[in-house]
Amino acid sequence: MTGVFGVEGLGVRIGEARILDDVTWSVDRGETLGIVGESGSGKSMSVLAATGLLPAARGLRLEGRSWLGGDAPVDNLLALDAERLRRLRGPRIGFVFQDPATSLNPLLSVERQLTEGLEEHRGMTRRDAARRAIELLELVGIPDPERRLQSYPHQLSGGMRQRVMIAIALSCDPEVLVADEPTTALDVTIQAQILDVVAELQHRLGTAVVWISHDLGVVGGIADRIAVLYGGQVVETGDVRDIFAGHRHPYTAGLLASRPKLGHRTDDLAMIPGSPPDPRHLPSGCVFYDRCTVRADERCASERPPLAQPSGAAAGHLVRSFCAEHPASTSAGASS
Amino acid sequence: MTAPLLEVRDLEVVFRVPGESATLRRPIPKPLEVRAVAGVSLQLERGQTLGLVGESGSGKSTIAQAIMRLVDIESGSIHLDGIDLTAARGASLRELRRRIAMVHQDPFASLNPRRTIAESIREPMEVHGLRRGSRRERVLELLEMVGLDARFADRYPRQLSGGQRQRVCIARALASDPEIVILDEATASLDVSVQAQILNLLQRLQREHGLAYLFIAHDLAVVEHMSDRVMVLYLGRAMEVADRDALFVEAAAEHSTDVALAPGAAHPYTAALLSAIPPSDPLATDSRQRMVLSGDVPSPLSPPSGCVFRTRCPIAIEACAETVPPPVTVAPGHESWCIRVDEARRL
Repeated sequence: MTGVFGVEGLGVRIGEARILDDVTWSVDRGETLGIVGESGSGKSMSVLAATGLLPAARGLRLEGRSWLGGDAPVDNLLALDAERLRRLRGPRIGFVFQDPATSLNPLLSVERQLTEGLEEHRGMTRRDAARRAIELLELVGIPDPERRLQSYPHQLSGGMRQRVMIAIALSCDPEVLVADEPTTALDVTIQAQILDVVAELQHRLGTAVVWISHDLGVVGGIADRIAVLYGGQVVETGDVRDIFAGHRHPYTAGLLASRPKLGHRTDDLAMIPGSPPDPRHLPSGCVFYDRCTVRADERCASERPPLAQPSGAAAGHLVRSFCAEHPASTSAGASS
Repeated sequence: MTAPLLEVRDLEVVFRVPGESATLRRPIPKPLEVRAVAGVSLQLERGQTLGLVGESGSGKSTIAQAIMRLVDIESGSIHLDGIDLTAARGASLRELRRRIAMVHQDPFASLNPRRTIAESIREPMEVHGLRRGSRRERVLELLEMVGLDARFADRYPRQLSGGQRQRVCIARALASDPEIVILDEATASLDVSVQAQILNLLQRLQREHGLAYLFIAHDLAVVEHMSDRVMVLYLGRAMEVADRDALFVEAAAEHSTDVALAPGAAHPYTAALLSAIPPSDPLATDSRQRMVLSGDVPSPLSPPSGCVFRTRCPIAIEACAETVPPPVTVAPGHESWCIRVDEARRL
């Protein structure tokens, strides 16, 4: 398997609840993988589990593996102890989470939060780390970086905080940046700034990016490949083009159709009936069965469809549906 | 010409916050003033939807709270059907409030967890003394109107999904037979597939019951979908107001895949908001000029002089700092608060 970071057959169960089931994705150098899904789809869970960030819970069971490639490959992160995982998070995997207000420490200056990783993981002196911190703030487009270094999080706006988070995430030159809904808490004009910063840095540094979002529009604008998660499973994955123009899964079709589009006047939005499934009571066949209006045949109710490449689909375009062989019918996946 | 159903004129809402250096030893400094709404006028017609769009601090929710009389207003007036809402007291205020209902953003926080769904929906009828003797029937009717069957009546909020709870909040809003429903980010916390269900439901209810909506949202695509008229707000002031068709439809007529290619916006902030929306089809050749605003929204404690948007505006000139721009009529019913309207139209 090539790439710098990925998961293979990843599963998470808590008691009877199947939170994640057989999830596989990977991301290569300089590439952006968009992971899209609604609440409870498992989109955040897959990276938390992959990086050992899931809190211990009674009855928690992990399956499959997550791996790092590159010059120092790690075959299975899930098999590592806490200390060895800690030494990978930061230097090799950087993180940016949704809410910069809660992911920064309110009691520490920007400088301390930026230099901590450099001293800990890169063995820099405080002075060298401080010099590097200024460069990092410049890198993410923060004006007057020397002064900003002395600021505390409450003195920064939401957009500035998220830029600081990105600077921290990139401070140790990680191979992969995991961004979990990094613009969801921001206003749209600030979101546009952050999207630009990440795209620019990725272009310059060649970092692989895993971008998690509920918003297919945001992901469509920045990702090279997309994985659509539903009910804890990857239901469709492929190039941006495959997902937007050649999608085969009724859920992807419904998701694309249910968003109002600027300038496209419609009386009624296409919609997916019902609501996302409860991980404790997943349908025994296809996870989308309850809400699907296509339903190829009787297997949909009883058999779990495999994630497979439908005939005529591009390489790497995989769909978990019995309906995938009939691309024309999937557009009816969303009913009015 | 009849008066609009709801008319807000020159509304100002001021919040006072303690000064920064307030410590026990020093005298308490003069409170700082935040002009959350700084002179906004708007009209809402019967059966119509007015969309209010803006980012944090734009004052869109404060306008809603002022209309509901949940915050005190500094100056200006609010008239419902020609009656002054700001002067009303007691029974007449209660009657005015009956005619305006509100649905909030978070359906998890706006339902009492210890009351059944039926109890929550019945409450407005009790407050306003409506339908004595037939309230249970009305609750079931309201549930049916919002697409929930009678089984939900005796359940508790925790047994419902987010979308179902928002349906309950809508049913409760309709329980007092209002003419206006204020929807304050009513679908913002819902998943995309569920949001579409709620938007469709709201439009059906409007058609069937002739409701007027004040539709507040930060998502311009959702606002466009729902509104007849749209007002764009920034730092407590109106930037632009126009019929939806004037703002959005020009491009759709050209069969382009993305309307922002040629928006009808006549204000640089509206143009920037349109530009910030990710394209609905990333594969379409994107010939529109992307416009990313620099900087942040200034602190409402010390807004810029003159035009409040000038510090982030790509076409600001010195004159913009001097006076608050008056509204410029771009076309009938289309106003822009920008002294460089012609340049703004070319953005």
